[in-house]
Amino acid sequence: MRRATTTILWLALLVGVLGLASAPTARADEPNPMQAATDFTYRCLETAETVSVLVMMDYSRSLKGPDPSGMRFKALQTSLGGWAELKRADGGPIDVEVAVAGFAHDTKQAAKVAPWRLISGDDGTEAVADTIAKARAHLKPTGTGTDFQQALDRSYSDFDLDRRVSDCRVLFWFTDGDFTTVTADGRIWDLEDHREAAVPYVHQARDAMCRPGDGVIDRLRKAGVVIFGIQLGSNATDLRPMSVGTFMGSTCGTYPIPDGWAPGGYLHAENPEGLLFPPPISRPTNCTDTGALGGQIEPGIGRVSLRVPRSQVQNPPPSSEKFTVHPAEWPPLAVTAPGEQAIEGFHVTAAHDPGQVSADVTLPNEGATGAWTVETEFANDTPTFCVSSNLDLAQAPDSARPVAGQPSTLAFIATHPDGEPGDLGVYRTVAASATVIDAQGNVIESAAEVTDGKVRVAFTPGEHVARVTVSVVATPTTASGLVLRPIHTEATIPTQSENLPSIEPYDRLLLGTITNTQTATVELTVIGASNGPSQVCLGEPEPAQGPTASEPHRLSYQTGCIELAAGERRAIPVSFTPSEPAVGAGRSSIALTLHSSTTDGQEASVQELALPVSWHQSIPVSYVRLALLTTAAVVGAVLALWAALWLATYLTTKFNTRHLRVASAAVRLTANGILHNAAEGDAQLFDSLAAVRQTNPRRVTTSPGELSLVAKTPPFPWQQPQFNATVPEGHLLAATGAHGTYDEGRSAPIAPGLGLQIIFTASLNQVRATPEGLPLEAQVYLFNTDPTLSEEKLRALLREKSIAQILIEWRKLATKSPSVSTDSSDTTQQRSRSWR
Amino acid sequence: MEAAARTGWGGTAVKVRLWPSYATLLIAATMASVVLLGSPDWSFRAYLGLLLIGSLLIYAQRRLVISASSKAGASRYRRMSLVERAAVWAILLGCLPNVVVWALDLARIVETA
Repeated sequence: MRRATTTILWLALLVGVLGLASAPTARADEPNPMQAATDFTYRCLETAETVSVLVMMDYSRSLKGPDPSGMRFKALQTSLGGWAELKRADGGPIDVEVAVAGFAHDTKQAAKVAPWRLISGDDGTEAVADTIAKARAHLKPTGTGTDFQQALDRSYSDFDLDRRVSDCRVLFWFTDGDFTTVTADGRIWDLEDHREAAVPYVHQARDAMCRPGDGVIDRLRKAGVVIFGIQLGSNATDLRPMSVGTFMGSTCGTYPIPDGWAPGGYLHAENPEGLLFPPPISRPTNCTDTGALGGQIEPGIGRVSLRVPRSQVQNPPPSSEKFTVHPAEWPPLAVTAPGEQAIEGFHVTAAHDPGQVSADVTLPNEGATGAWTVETEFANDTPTFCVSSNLDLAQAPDSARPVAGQPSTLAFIATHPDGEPGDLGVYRTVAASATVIDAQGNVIESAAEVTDGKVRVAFTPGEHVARVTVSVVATPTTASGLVLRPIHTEATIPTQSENLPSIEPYDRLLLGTITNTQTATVELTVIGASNGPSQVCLGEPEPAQGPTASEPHRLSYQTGCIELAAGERRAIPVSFTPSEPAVGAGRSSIALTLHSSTTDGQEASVQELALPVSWHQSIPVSYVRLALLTTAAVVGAVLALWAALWLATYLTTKFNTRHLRVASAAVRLTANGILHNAAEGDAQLFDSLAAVRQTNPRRVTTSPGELSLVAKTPPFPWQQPQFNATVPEGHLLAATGAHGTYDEGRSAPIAPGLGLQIIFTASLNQVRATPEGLPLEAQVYLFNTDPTLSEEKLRALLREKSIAQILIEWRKLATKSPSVSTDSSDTTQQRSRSWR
Repeated sequence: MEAAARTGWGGTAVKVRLWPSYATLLIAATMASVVLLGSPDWSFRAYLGLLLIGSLLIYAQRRLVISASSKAGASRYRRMSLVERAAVWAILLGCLPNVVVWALDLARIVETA
């Protein structure tokens, strides 16, 4: 039996003291507001096949205050989503139907809001969403006041108890207020509008509702309707006693609630974020509650599912939480929920939700008998345990084949999930039953019993029965009398017959793996009846189903009938050739007809069988080719991306030459500033700014020519483009805005925008030849794209520039660099000028 | 979708539209999910499509970044932002599973009788 995770109501887990915690005025002896209702519903759902959930929603205007965004509908949807997944504890299906009605000063019946609708099944999610959408649309907060009497009267009629059949009935009664409104004497009496006059009417209505015996509360309880009162906002005085039956000393309906009647529950949330409609949680199925045994785990238990209710509902639960399972004498299992862990041969799947933590523990094959306990971070009620054997049944390896016409016995053994044999002897009893049918579906009388730790099935197949299908069920009972969930298996087994021919293999012919369109061939052996001549007929091959959409090829083998002498063996090659290479499984079958021997003058009997044939088609993979292709594709992708990035950078790596103007002038640089040629000066420099035409934006050259502005695109996308001013060997430069130079003073980074760029250059020899303290003859270049540049601004910039720093830097570089032979004409020319 | 960033020397805050990067992330995720179809043909289309569209988008993104930097008078172009780099990686990661699917198909040694 595999662990099956299904859902069932988690009401049992809200057993915590929710109500006690949320109702500060409650007395210490108040009953737990959820305990009785959850227990009742839990028991009901264990065997239920149908469940009806009616939601009576408050739609009074007051809801605009505490829940303006309609969180109540989201909470309801979450809850109903879980109800839609409900399964019984034994894994059986439950039909869950839901309807939504509304109440305020009057009511809206379910038929006009969200009528009864099945929400279990494949379209459950859609059905729930549709129900919620209808409820949202029809229950906008427009009503005045809250008439509790009408709400429950309407609920009673919407359950339609006389006609609608249901095993469990649940009413979610949601409100954010108290019993304030009554319709009487043809008008609405509301405590807020006319308190004095309305009070008697409300009291009268409350008394009528709560009247023992025939009040609507008692009528609902008697009909098995579990009322869950769900209060939003501050605690009110009416909903809790009407739901639970008692509160603060006052009772509503017959109290204590008689056995057999449905109790009620009460939930309270201060704000809509904490609103909770009783939702389901996952819990294991196919297990048996230990009941009074609690955590006493007995021999033969292979799986333990435990649940620990929280002392107080925690909505939402923490993202993860730890607890410890103490499996008797074994070391403690430290568990983190949610999650799966393998610890010391135990496999633990832990889960949690607002109401509980739970763990599904698969035990080692040797078991873990003794008293189990659970330690959590919260005070808790007693954990509950649900156990199973976790065993499977399999045909015993030494089990003899049944013999046609003779009493036969098949043996089955229990196995653990890992295939190791299990021990049925540890149980007090194992009740076994079996069903045996022949190939035609006829039931063969059989008897099953457990002896020597094996389930033995005794039966006598007919003389002409070629194979039988045996279904076996074993139900173990532990030493204490706990009846565990049954384990079962089914097997189809050929019979041995003196009269009938047989085949090998008898259950399935495996052709193995077929590569591309190669042909796979195996032999089917037919064996003649032992007591005389018999016959095996092979029919035409059935159409093949393979990975190819429509496989035209069929199995290939010798068709027709084969006469066999007594005990004769004949091998028949069976082959298949796929029509085209493909990857996947294929199957077909061979129609066989076995004709029995005709001893004693009897007419031959005939058995028809379909022998399944299966194969797997594959196309081998060249891993070298795969690696090459993958590498090429990845490299191609990297190159494409690199190219895109490089291209984008290349196309934009250029100087701004739009409206570029350039000027240059010979100057003498001193530590105190710039001395211009007498004929020139700042004004002249500014006036000589001339537009540059037909300039390469990636390389801007100047006259007299020793200065170039060069834009370089880097080869790699993560590198920055470079924008430099450079001078040839034997020269030095200094640029405004640049933090230093490189290439021995011949290059400096500049801004590509060229808004206003000033660059000084000088001959290296000139720097060397000029003693410190005397003016150095140099050239100044001005690049400008800013049309707002004025002569005054330029003058100010030139004065700001620290010429002294440039001179110091250049002299340092000149000292380090080897002497270079350069044409001295320009220096001579400059020397001949007059300076100011 | 814009992002402000400081550029290099100029220290100018540059607002850059990042929609091509976000579009790339979205397309990469979509194309990567094609692998779930298990179809070599569709995986090949997804690979090529993602590569082509992705390259165009990251090209566009780079141009937008540089253009924005340039307009803001920054002295250097802005480096690739996190989302831009993520987009580039997303293209590669979106391509890879599809490459495996169609490469596995092409790497099969088909021999017909």
